Amino acid sequence: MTCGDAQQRLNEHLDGASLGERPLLDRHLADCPDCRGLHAAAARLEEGLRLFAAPSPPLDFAARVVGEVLADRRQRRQSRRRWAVGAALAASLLAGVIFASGRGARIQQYVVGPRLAPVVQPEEPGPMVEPIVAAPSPYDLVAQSGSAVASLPRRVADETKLSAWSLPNDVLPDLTFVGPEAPGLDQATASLAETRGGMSLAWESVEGPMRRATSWWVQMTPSIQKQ
Amino acid sequence: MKLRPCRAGNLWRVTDVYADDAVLVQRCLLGDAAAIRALVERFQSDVFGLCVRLLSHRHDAEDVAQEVFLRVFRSLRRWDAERPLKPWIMGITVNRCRTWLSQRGRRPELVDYLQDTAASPPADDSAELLHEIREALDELRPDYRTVFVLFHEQGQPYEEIAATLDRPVGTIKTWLHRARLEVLERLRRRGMVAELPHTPEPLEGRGER
Repeated sequence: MTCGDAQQRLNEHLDGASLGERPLLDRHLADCPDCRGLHAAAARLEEGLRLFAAPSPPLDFAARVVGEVLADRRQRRQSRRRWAVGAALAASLLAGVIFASGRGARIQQYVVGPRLAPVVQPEEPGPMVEPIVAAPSPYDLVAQSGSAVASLPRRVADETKLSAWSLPNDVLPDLTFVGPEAPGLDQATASLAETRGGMSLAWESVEGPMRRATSWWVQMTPSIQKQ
Repeated sequence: MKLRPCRAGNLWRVTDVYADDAVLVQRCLLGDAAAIRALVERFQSDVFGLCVRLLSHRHDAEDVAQEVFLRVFRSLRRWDAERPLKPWIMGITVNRCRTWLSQRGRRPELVDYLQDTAASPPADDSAELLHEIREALDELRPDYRTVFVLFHEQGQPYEEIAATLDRPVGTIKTWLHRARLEVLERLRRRGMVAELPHTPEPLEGRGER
């Protein structure tokens, strides 16, 4: 038996095989201190591996991970939604502008430029359009508007919930009053009107950036100015 | 848990609905928090254990194991249902550990191995032996160390390790053989083996695996 054979047997043994017939191996080990040392070391390794215990994760590890995973999913879902709404708004605005101008190719050189494309002043600026000096590009404005739309249902829901809670307080005390001075419908539903106000405020944050974005495009498109 | 009829007799047996990988993954994709927890609990020991051994640092291992699961759930749709789930998850674990080590860019900090030892307190030089084995593992190149830990500590078969590391079984065998030789050589160098004249005593625990 050679040293290679002895190592092979040792390796198979550590794989889980039995050493089987040993006379040849024993004879080799008796003559070869190197292989003898390796086999003795393997016995120590096996001894040590039996003492190894796989490290256990902390007790609250699974709960923590589940919390992180769920939070991560919520965040990614919101982010996807915001992008989807922003992209839809941008696409519809772009389509509208292209349709209005009837000069798709001409618009494209403005739209596909750098984020803050240098403002090309028309030779005779239209009297109705104020020049845009502010930094935010139409992309930023559309994204901002998309964010506002994404958060809109939540704000509306909150407003509605608040007004629904205050509705009985507004109406019920007066319902017990019977007479010519019974409360009018407007008075009884004042909180609903407040909700409408709240919703319109919320909508402003959508409308504002979109108006500014549109204004940018209008200014950049001479064909629209002339109309 | 769900009741499923058992073929052997007319008894009803309680069977874990999440036992099947594909079902478990499907439920996770639907956002079932119980399924997500079941998946984490099924693999947390293997993932965390490998992270500890590869990073040699418990706190780092916790962070990386958590990151591994985040990535697993983010890319769960890309898992091929025709293949077993465990090697896929362990493959992500190996990759994250590699990245972490390359970013950390320094020698792994020592971890107190005594806390990993079995309940029975070592009476002789066992603590030293464990320390030396651990040092020997740290000296191995990461591929060898991964294979060594997956085989000897986690008891994974060659085929599963090959799937985890996306290498042929022959390569895994070679790596493990070399890893063992390096560990054994170190044990000898560090005087953990009594270099006595030959005694024809059989190796301990032979044929147990």
